[in-house]
Amino acid sequence: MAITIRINRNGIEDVFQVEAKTQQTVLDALFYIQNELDSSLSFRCSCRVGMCGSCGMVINGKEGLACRTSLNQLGIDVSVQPLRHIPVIKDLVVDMEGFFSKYRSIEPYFSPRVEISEPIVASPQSGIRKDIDLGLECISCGLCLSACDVVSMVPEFLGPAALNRAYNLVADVRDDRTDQRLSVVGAPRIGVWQCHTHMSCVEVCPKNIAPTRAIVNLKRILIRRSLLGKRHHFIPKVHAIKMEVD
Amino acid sequence: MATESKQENPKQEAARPVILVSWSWMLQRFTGILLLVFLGGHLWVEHFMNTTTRVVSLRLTHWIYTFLDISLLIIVVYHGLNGLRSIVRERMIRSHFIWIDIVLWGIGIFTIIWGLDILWAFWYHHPFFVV
Amino acid sequence: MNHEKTLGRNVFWGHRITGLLILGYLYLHLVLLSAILSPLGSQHFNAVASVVERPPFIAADMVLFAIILFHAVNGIRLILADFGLMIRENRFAIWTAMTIVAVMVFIASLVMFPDLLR
Repeated sequence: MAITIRINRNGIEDVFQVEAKTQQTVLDALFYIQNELDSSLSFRCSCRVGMCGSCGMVINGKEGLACRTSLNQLGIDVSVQPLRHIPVIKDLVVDMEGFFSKYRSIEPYFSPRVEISEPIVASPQSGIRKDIDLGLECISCGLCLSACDVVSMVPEFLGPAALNRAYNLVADVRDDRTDQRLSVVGAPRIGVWQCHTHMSCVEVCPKNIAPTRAIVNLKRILIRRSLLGKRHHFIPKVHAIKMEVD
Repeated sequence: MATESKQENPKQEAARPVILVSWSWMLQRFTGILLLVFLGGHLWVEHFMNTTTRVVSLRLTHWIYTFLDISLLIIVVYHGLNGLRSIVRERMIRSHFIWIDIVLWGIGIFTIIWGLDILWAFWYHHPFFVV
Repeated sequence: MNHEKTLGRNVFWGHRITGLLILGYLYLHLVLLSAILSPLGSQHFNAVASVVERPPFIAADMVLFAIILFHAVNGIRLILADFGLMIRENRFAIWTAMTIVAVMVFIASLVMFPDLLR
């Protein structure tokens, strides 16, 4: 039995027939097409086990990693498209620069407080890493930005991945650049207030992160800080870390 | 042992950025919760209590019902037009935002005056503006 | 380019459209009230009232009630999401909200059309 794979190549649909096999992913089928049928087909991949985030594409209308999507569950007619909201370079290869420039604008790196000279002991009981652990697995594959319909309405919206990263750093008690990050994520149109909680990002994330959770937490942090002042940001966690440090 | 971090770092204070909070976002949620109470009450009163002309007219001359209706009017106009504002803003460029606000404030104030005029009719037996 | 619409996105558009419809109804409501309260219209108050109580108008009222209820229940779901609740269970929350709307509209139509019970 053959599976029809329709690949959107720069707006033109190319149809390929692939033999159905057991245990076959969409990426395997793409490799088969490239090796046997059309060597000009371009796509990205690296690890093939769903940990590098290179092979994100829209498969049967839904975002997914090609290496983690089983071809057999998709039926005999499969459409493959490049990610949305991201410029296409060729075939299924997209220019991730826009995605990463959004990522960069929230300063996605940890910058420690200079006053703390010793490493902070974060014991499991304190719970100060509990919120952060839920959002750490991100592999920056861009699926959430592609699935986010707010981006199609407001292109400058930072998107779920960048805001999830911003929340991880804001929630980190050791981090020093909370104010700068909050002034970016709180800005109109680009920031968290533009999110309409469609929760499409939660549905497509291959790592089961819920970026919407990070976004609503950032909204609450912004409200709490502006209403109650700087010291009231993350009250329980700051108390926890002070007890540990003292 | 680690030193306690200073909250009031003078260098940081000088360059303290503005923390931006969307008041329209917050008030939309807040008025939404209020509407659950007020609109639920409004529907209950208008459908399960006596709805003959005379009784409705008498009820609306009581200050409690007048107060509830004025509150409902203001809340519903804010919630509705603020929702419309967020829809319109998504399709507009930034330099037009001030005009959206001016137009919607105008519409809102006009609507509230109109609604007050209708409530006025129950107290003074004729509306003020509408003929 | 076909793209599958997620449930959350469909419900979002439903929320927007029902919101605009309710805003439109607010003005219809004000126009009708002004019309029957003005000196010209007040003599027809009872005539208007008897027309509005006919079954087609009550059915239209039920549609309006369903629209308001959808907006209200979905609004509660969105506010819960803003407090970090029912985010991973989003699909379950949406279907629960829709079920609540359907059940409440059914109960309300039994109240408005008591003949259905006979």
